[in-house]
Amino acid sequence: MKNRLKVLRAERDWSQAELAGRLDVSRQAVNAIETGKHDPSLPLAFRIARLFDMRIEEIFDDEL
Amino acid sequence: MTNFDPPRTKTEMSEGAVMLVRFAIVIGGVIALIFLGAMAVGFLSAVTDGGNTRTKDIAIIGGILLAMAGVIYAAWRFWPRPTSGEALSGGPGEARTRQRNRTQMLYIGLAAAIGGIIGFATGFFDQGDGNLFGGDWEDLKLPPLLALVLAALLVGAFMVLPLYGFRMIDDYKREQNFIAFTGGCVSVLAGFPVWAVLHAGGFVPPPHAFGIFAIAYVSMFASFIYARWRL
Repeated sequence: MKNRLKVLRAERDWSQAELAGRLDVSRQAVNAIETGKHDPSLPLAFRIARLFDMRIEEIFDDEL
Repeated sequence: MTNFDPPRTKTEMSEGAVMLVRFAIVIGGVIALIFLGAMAVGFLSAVTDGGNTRTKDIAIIGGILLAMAGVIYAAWRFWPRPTSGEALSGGPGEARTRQRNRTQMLYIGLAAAIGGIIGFATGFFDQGDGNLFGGDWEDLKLPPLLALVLAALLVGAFMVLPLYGFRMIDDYKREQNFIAFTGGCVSVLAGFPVWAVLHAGGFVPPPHAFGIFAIAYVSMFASFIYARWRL
């Protein structure tokens, strides 16, 4: 699944480790999500959406 | 405004360098502990066989145990940690991650301690000439009470700790571990009948309990490597 996580992170000038800390996941998890290798669980997707103050579908898109 | 953040005196290492240092500490620490542990067990066996324990012997064993404690302390002391700035940054997410890392280290230490106790107890109180890897089960002899204690510890080390560990990892690592466990389980389910059939055909020796155990472990490890590479 494609997503805008890398762009959103870059806009805030956060490192992957910083974002991982804010989401309470490993840095490898952030990297895997950004590269589309791993789809986050629904609770994690909600955490990501809340962190960026956006809706889930504004960050993740299965039709991109 | 006063800056209470202590200055960063240390040069920050890259993530790869940190991993390398941690890897070196783990490998070096484990080798040193195995060496010292084996030395302590060997010395203890020699002392008990002689049947005449002296104060000097106790002091030597105490010294070896102290050296082991020193190795553990050194590993803890030199373990690369986030710099003060990184450690202070962020909110509850970072705090939870740090807490989880500490808990993980505690469980790894606990598992290592259980492994050490099991290894020491089986080596020290072994009453037979059997070998776990050789399959000569009739020659394996342990005091019944000790056998029960070790069985309980093994259940803890191989079942409770790994399952509880699943609660401490995130989705991504859990997925990798599920793949690893599935690989190990499927390999045993298929491995045993395949081995038996190949033996019946005269290709390989008969199935061996430790061989089945090894299949599970090796395939679990291989599956984990595959998952790390693919995911």
